[in-house]
Amino acid sequence: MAFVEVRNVSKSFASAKGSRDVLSGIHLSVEEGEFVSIVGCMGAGKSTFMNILSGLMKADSGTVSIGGQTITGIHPKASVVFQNYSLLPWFSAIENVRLAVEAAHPEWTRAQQVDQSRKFLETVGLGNALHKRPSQLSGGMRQRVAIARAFATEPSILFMDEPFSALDALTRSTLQQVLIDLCSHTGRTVTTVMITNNLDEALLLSDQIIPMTAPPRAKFGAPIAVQLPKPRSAAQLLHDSHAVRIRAEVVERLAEFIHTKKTGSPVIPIRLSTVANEERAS
Amino acid sequence: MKDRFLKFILPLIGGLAVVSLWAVMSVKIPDLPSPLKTWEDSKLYLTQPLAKRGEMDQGIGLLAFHSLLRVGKGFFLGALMATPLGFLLGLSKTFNRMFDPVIQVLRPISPLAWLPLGLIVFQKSEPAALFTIALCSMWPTVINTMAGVKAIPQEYWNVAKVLRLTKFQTFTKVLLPATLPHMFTGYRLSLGIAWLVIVASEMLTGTPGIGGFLWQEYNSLIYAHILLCILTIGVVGFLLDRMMGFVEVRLRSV
Repeated sequence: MAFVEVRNVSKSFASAKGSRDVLSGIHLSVEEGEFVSIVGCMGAGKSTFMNILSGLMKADSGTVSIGGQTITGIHPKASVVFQNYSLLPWFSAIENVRLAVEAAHPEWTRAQQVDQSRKFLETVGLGNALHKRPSQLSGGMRQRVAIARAFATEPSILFMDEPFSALDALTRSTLQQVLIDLCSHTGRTVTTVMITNNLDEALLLSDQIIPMTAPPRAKFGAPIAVQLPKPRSAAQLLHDSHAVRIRAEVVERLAEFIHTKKTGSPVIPIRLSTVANEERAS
Repeated sequence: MKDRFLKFILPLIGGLAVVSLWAVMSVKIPDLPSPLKTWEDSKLYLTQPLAKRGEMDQGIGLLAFHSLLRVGKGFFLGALMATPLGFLLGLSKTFNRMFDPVIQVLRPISPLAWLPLGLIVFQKSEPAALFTIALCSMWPTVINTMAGVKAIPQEYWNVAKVLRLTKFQTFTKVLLPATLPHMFTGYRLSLGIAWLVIVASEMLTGTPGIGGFLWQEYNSLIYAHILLCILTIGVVGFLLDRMMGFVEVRLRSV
């Protein structure tokens, strides 16, 4: 059994026109230490899935298990990075991080908690903005704080819900680098599930890319393996033939989903994923 | 420059217009003291604001102080009941459904209606006055605290859940700071009502203070002092509101 195992998860919401199925029969397996990206278009139910996976929301049916245990809430070794930063505006950067450290390590002294918080804020390049409030920081800096907060508790699982989508392209790539650095810097394998609508981001960071169909009744397509050595660089990905092929494959798969939605004909997804599977086997 | 001039001169014109209206009316109505007579009769009370000549016959500063002290106690008592009640109403749907109708019925009741009940329950005028102030002034705090708790974005609750904060941490680090500005809006409105209620409760209980003095001077036919009291009540109320407003703005800017 995989480290993170999602089985047959479905979720619908009540709306004015009756109940609306957002997710139906979702399966996902993530091995320990793997970085998995779920790529889908806007409004595909990605955030709903993330809320269920992280334990913030209950699924209507199906189970999520982490390390063999079915979760009933937030996993103690999990961290979550939200799209909208979700910092507490009445606390400074370091206080925001320390709150997470304090909750994870109540047995530590205050000085130890502050040290840990400072260390991680310095790692993400905010050593000179420790005592600034979120309102005094730019969007990119706020997301740095959020990332520092997620890593400062030294999690073994990391969930990220479109962590960089609110940022401009330049800030986005800097922060992706920060994330790469943090992942290698901590020297521990953090199992990560990231939701994104940016394919290049998924290629840069992931071991597996999972395309997601459009709602209603969103489903996951077969995973596509990215077999490129890490850490990767954006420039390298532009020319690498393997990367180019995977990019084409994901785009094609997503287009098929959309096409199927329009014509109503069944999805014919297997051809390309067999290529991916062969490569994984080799 | 022109702006600052207008800022100063326009309120002055407004004030003078009202005083002129008062002067004209005092000519038509023989019992209404003119502004000048009010000033002459009140001079002693204003120039020696802290003098104590008798039980009721005190300087205006001292009278206002008695009233403020009473308002402070009543308001504090009210806030002590209202704040937890507001949190409970905002946090629990069940509790809200149970007590919201009761609150909507109790809210519009006048201090004049509560006071006799207070006198029956407590047998003494001072606790009855405090009871009335507390009961009448608590509602804006209850309702604003409740609204503040309900307005906390889901985002902050998610942070509390994701960081696995304890109930106590969630309260002190998320719930309280997020609700504080709303609570202070409630406190400001509540204090305003407490100050409104003080006059009625002092009139009926005859305790020393601005309201008690006002009622006594009415009975002694010294009408100029009624106007003195009215103006004092207005000025003190205005200052209280400004003070709370200042604190509120500071909290909101955080």
